[in-house]
Amino acid sequence: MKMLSRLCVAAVVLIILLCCMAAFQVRQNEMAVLTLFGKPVRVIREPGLYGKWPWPIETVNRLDARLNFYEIRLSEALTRDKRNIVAPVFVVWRIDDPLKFLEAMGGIESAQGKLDSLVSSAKNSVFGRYDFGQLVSVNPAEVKIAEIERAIAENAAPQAKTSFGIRIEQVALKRLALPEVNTTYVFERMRAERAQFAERYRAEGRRMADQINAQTDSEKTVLLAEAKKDAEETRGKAEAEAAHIYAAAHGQYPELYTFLRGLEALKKIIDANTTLVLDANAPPFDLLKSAAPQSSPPPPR
Amino acid sequence: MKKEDALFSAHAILAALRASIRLLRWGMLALVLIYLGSGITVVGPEDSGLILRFGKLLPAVHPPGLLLALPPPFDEVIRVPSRRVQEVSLDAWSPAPDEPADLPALHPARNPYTLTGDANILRARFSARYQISDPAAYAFGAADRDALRDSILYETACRTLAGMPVDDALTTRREYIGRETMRLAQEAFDRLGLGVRILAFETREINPPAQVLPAFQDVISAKVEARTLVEPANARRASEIPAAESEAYRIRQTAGADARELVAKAQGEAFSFLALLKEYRANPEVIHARLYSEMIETVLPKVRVSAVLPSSKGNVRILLAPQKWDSSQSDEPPAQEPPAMPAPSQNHYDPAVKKGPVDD
Repeated sequence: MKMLSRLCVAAVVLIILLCCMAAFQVRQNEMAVLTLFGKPVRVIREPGLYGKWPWPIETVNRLDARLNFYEIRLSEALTRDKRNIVAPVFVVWRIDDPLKFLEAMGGIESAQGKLDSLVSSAKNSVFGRYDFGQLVSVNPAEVKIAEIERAIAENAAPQAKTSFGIRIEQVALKRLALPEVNTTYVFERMRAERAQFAERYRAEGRRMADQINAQTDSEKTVLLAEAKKDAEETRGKAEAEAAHIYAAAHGQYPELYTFLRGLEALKKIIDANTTLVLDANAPPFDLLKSAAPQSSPPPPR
Repeated sequence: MKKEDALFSAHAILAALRASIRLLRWGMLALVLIYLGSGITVVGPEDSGLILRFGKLLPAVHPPGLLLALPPPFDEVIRVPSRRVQEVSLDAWSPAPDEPADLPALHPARNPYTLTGDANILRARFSARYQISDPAAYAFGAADRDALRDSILYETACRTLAGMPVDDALTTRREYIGRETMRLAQEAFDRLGLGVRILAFETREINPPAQVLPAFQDVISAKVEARTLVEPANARRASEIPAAESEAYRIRQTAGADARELVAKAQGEAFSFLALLKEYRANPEVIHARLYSEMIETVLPKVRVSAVLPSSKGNVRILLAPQKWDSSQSDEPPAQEPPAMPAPSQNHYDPAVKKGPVDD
């Protein structure tokens, strides 16, 4: 009995050892190429548990199945309108054909070196087809950065796939810069632009202030003129109405009105500097005489 | 005796070996139990748990709590901080602390910056907040996901800034930079399947290079000066237009009052005239005489010289009363005029009202 149990334990240990040597896992983020004495015999793209002949018969070469990121070395490029631009580019790629990748590259580090020259060449080629104004413009519709990025990726992708077993997922410009020597001139231009803007703002301020003052004066004048016009109209209408009222009343006996107006006029005209020479027969001086008053009012109508 | 001692020793060693083997068995059993329980783990409050079984991802995403998994090498538990809001600072375009401010030029690699739509240079610092939206994609999407994430954020910020003038970037459209960069970056993350959701993209600093900063500050000063010029004009306008409106209102109201007064006066006088006319028609002589007499009573006391000429004689005789000297009109007393005698005239004299000195 004891012997049997010892044999069981030994069998379990042996099985575990065999599993360790003849089974392997491919993780979710991996692909694998199995080589038999160095010759690739099987490509495994799906994660899981697999079996193989123990080492050194078969060897597992693991490759990263995830997206890889690589920043291309900084270099200048020339646009179609002969402007130098420095545009750091990064490329996002993944292994598309593990066997080809293993044969052509051997590993990630080697792949990045080859991608560098491939994408740099594509970048220079594509930049030569676009103007500087299509990289930077105050009109966003004229900026073709996304299109340029797609063009670089499309330019580099076929060779990357056929030669290296790599699929380029994205190429992107990390930023835009100018050659070092050009920045001095850019600074001078920026200073000149700012000086121009500053003067424009000051002139604009003066112009706006003058406009506001002139508008204020104009509106004031118009307001008062309109008010005076309305006032004159109101007074004119009132005078017309008054004249109508007077005419309606005085027209009933114009002679009496003339007589009354005459009396009023005399009261207003005569003052201390007036000399009157009157007929003694005129009332009331006629009362000084014995004769009766000769004037009489006009007969009533 | 020696033989007995040897037997005793052998038994003792055997007993000790048996006890050790029993202890070893228990120890082995404990190790097996510990191994079997090693797959049981805890998922933290900000994490999600993923299980790789023989390297292959199981579809279930486990929430915080106790996670029962098989021991290695069967299962592997991966924790992803999917509930944590993470923040990344993007300082690559800002000047290094030891960078001199008076550099004559900027090197594209050593002094990173980007260009705006009007080909001006800008240096900036950003920050982004994000959350893991798909734990499996985040865990197995990219090899160097932090560098990739940052590079995508820089790229989208560069694209956004390349389409706007420097003034907008520095002032009015800073929020737009954040919004647009976030939108473009999210599109890229989704396209690449990185399992990240951008929550915010903020511009912490955005400045022109130190070499041209004084020129930019002068523009800001010019704007302030312009406002300084405009504000007094606005203040004057705010003061004078209401005053003019008030004056216009006063003019209209005065005119209205004058008009009403004029009409009322006309109505009153017309009423008075008609009332007098009524009486006049009843007693014309009396009214006439009264009015005339009232006028004479009012007028004659004012005159300085008055004369009454008899009209029945042929000769005109003017009686002049001596003038009184009015000290208020002249410092010197008037020269004494001799009493004038009326010149003989054959003309008939008509009573008249004359103003001023009387000629003989």
